[in-house]
Amino acid sequence: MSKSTNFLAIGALVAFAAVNTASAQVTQTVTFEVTAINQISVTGAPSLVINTATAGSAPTSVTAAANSWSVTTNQSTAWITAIIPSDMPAGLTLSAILTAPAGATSAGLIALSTTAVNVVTGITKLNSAALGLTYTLDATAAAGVVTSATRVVTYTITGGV
Amino acid sequence: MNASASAVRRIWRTVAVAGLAFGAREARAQVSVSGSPAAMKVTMAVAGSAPAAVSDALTTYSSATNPAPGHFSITASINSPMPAGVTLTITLAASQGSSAGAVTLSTVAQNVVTGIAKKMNNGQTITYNLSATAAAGVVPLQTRQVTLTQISTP
Repeated sequence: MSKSTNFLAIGALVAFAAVNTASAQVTQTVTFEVTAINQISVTGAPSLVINTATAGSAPTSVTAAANSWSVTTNQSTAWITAIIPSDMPAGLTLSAILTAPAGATSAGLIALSTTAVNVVTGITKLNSAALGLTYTLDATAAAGVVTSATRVVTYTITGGV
Repeated sequence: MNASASAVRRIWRTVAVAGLAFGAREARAQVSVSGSPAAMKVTMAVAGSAPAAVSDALTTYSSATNPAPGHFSITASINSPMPAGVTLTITLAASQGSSAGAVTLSTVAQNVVTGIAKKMNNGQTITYNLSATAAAGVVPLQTRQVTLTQISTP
């Protein structure tokens, strides 16, 4: 009787010790956040020269397609606008067309001016690189000879919701 | 001394011995951390790429383990799942045993260090990495409790 009591006690204590020494825990609190992110970039510095025409037609338009743009947004329905800092010479039109990333909508070929215009809309929570960006320069005969000039095209992404 | 008194004495002796053994084992099975990491915020991206991940490697852990016999491992888990598209990994440096490298934290405990057979140097670096996909959207400030558990292994 006494011996079995002793064994029981030993057994219980060994089991208890095994359970309680099996692990030790400690905790850390990790605080985190993801803020609104809207980033756009472009590549290319195109040069467009109009120097020919088909007789009887307006001067031949030129395009520059060796450009691209990239975007990252973690918001919904973000959009991109384009603007130039000063008006184009009379009779000249500079236009741009941006390929839309998946799920978004391109405004198509759109003339650039000193008023910001939407070029892509509905960009939602994505990152997409090396999308197409093409510039077109049109001129009327009335524009005459226009000396070399530059325009900086500024693209702005605005976060949605 | 009758048989009953003798039995009681043996029981108390057993309790004392087992208690000492328990205390000794308990002292060996200690893991501590230097504190909690500063808030981690994903705020930037290179256009065209996923948001840039952020890291924190400013906290440390220490293990008082002096395993004999057998080995110890350390597992890590969090108290609730991360938001969709957000990933938190943990890497524990290990002067003893083998670090599992970057382990994605979930509510299921996973080994982060295994095969600890000797006492680990104090102040081993804990590295957290927070990453998010664009699809994760904006994630408001929140917390997760990361639990490090030291367990004995055969």
